[in-house]
Amino acid sequence: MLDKLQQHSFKILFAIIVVTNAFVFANVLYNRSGEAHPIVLTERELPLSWRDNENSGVSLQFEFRVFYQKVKNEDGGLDRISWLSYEKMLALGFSKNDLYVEDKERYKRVLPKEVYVALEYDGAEYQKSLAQEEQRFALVKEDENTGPQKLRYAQRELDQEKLGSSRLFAIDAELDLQQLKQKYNQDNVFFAKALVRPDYSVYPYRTHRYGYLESLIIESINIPYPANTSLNELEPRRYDDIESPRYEVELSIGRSLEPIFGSLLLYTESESTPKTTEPSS
Amino acid sequence: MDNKNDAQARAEQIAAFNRELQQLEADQVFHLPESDVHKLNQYHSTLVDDLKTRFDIDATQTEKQLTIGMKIASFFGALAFSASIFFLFYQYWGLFSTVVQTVTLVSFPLAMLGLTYILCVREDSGYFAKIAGLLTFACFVLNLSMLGQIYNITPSPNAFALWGLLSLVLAYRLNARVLLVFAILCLAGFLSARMGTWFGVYWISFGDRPENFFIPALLLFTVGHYKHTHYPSFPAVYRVFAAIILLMSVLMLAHWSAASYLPFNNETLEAVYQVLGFALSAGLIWYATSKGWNDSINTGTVFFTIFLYTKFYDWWWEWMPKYLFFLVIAVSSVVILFIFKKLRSKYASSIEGSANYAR
Repeated sequence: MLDKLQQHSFKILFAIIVVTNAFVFANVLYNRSGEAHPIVLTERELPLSWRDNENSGVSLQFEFRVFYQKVKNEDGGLDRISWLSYEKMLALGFSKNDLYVEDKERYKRVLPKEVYVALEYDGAEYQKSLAQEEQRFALVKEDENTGPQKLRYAQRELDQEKLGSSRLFAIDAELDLQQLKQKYNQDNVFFAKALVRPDYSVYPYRTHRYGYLESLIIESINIPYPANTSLNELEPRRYDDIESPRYEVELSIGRSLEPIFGSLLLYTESESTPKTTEPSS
Repeated sequence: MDNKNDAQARAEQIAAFNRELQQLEADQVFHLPESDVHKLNQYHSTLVDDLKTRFDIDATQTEKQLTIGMKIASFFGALAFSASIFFLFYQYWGLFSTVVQTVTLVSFPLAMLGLTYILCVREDSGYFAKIAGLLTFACFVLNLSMLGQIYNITPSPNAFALWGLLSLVLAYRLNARVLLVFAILCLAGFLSARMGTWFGVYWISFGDRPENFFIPALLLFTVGHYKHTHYPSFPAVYRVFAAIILLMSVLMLAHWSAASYLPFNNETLEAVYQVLGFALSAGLIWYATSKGWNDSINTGTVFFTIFLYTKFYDWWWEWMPKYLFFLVIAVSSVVILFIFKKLRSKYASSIEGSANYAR
């Protein structure tokens, strides 16, 4: 057998390279076939990925969030409640054992599972998050004991929510994509594969168990030439900068849930108004 | 005679025979007639020339040293060339359109494969063909990983299978152990990722569960039993890397049992894996001794020592004075030395016994 392999080895090697590439392109074509509705995201949702001088490629990172409602519990602490609850984690295929492992290190070692998530852009979840921040700021402002530093911090949080934070929210997850598509047939919702992992927090008298979305399977989108040249000229932003977005990207999600770049629009100075609102006294 | 290793062994046997003959004559044990010496020299000279032409063997010690130098140079040359291609592409790929990027990425491995073919046909020693072979592999890795990035393709473990397959065929075509090592690592990665997905783990997390590597390592060790007539050095590569993959996994679990699939408490699991580590490495030494596999004996010994010393560290490093700790290590090394000496003499007498029986 090895003799035959020797004889035809270069033909086999050629076939491996050609057939593999053919398969890759068939996969790309399949992803791009069919109807895909475009969605426009800004720098808030697609910031520049980390770059180094020896890589001329540019990619943008998907920045998504999960809305946590902050509710006072009977112990006087704050519960952060999201749709990714204990019951939801069971529905996503985690066993009670996965969620109830007592040893801390071992608990962390419960590995993530692949699920489908619905991502909503600038929708109801963002409005809820914004309203929560506004309400929090109002309470801080009304409180007579609030010092100037605390007020400044609360104002900054609100500005961040209004101007800088991502408006892309993960709103639901399922093991079945069709089920998710039926539930969210909206223009501002698209779907992606993501990793979900169990988590917990301990209050004085009870343990709160839930899940968190670790990452999307495809975490970034490549920006092709020549659009990447204009992004390459932009200065990287610090994580705590509160500034308006400098560009928007039109993209669509293909049949294999792989993102397809559409176009890039750089905002002019007047459209992008970098500003950090000062606290009102 | 149909492989380079056998030809090399024969040439070394002739050189040793000539040295011994000279020594016997110098010690006046006996003296060969001039005509016989002439006949013998002529026969050996013709034979060695023929072996050199057919297998590019090293007839002298100097040639052997130079060959080792060439092997080292070609290995580092191939690695450096591969790294250079990676960085060259990363430096400039953003300046080209998607079509140019795609054409470049697909044509790179094909061009390198063509070069490998030409060098294979034209060069006897095969050093340059091996460099080109490794570059073909590197370009194919770049090809798939960059296409994945350009078209935002979902990562898949199948890429490891394809890289492993290409590297395996190249290794057998070029008789290149470095390529075989890459093939083994890629295929072990692919099989372990598949094992992980069967257990419900997302494939990229396969390394977080070292038990995923057990079955691939055992499969590779089994392949190491298969006699490769034309590639006599390959079985040792399979065995050594299979043993490293298996014993490294056990070593990790022996100190970090939270990474295990098994639903037992950490202390019990770590104890079980520590015992398993000692048993497997000692078993490997015993099995390899019975088979005469020096490579596996060395691998087993290294891991047995690592298991032993990490255990000593766990037990004594904190409370024992340092001079005493290192004294214990030294004494244990002497004990290991005694055990090996005993094994060696037992092995030698068993060989002597079988030789007497054959007589």
